[in-house]
Amino acid sequence: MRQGSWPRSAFPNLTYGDNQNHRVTSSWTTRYNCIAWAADEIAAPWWPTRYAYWPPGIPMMATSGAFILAFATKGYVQCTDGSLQPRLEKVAIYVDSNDVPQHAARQLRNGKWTSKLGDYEDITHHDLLDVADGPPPDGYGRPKYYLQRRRRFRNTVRRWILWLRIEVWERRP
Amino acid sequence: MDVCVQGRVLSEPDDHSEIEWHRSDTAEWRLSPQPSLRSWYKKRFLSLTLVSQTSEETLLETFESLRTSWHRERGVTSSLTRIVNTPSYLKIIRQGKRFLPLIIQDLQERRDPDHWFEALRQITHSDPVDPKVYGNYRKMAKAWVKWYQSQPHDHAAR
Repeated sequence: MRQGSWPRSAFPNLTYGDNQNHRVTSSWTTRYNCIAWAADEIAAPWWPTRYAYWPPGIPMMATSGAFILAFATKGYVQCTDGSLQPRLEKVAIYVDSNDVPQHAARQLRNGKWTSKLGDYEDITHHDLLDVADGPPPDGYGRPKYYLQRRRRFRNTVRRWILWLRIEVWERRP
Repeated sequence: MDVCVQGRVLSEPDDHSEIEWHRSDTAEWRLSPQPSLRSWYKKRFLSLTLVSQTSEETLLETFESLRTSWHRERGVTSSLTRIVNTPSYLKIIRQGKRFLPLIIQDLQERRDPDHWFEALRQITHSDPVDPKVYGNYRKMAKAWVKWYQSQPHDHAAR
């Protein structure tokens, strides 16, 4: 099975080898980060700072409130948990002990989660806690805020069009 | 200012009052010729003659070393704020325009450009990137490469 290139100590709950609890689904890239990936965007990293994308009108602050508002621009509203509901697409925001967002993961149709690990690869993992509890200062903390929106086929189509645009059109000589 | 000695970066002493640097005609940074300071310096640095930049190889070696440290320090975080505030990244910025050609080369060579934009802005006090393309690393990298190529060579090289 394909192995990720991240430092293994960063994710104590990920397992490898015969009992691997995740699957690597992309190459490493700096083109987008976990927040963008969870928001279904792969053209730019999302972060409230210069040189990253941050939705217009949303406070440029690394707070859970600002992140929830940022996801709201993509149609997400807050919900209570990350349980699988067939017609809903969910996102979990991980925060550290100071309630500062560190990571976000998006739920797939089969109930698994997809995460972009920093500048490393995207993975599909079984449980939200699989990427939690990393050692500080880089640890992702724990999932605390949950958001949901209606799962739409057009979002999947849009994702593929975006991927084709970036990987094929923008790379043309 | 940090000083490179055989590819290693030594941090500037905390006490700025005791040490004085001057730049010679050969573009090397040396200690003040004042005898008292020279003696102070010898005691602490085992009589090494510190030279800021002796060759392109040393420069490249130092850059590679700092870049590797930066990648290690930033770990798996997605926080772009943290990524550009690691000690090695700040050391690269403090080296000033010396690393500029290497950073630009790195932007050109990588399939997905690294997070050099904050360093470039701080080093050059310029920002050729159109705010409309903030976040699009490839377009931002192209803007910086174009800017660099438009600069006079002397300015770009040092």
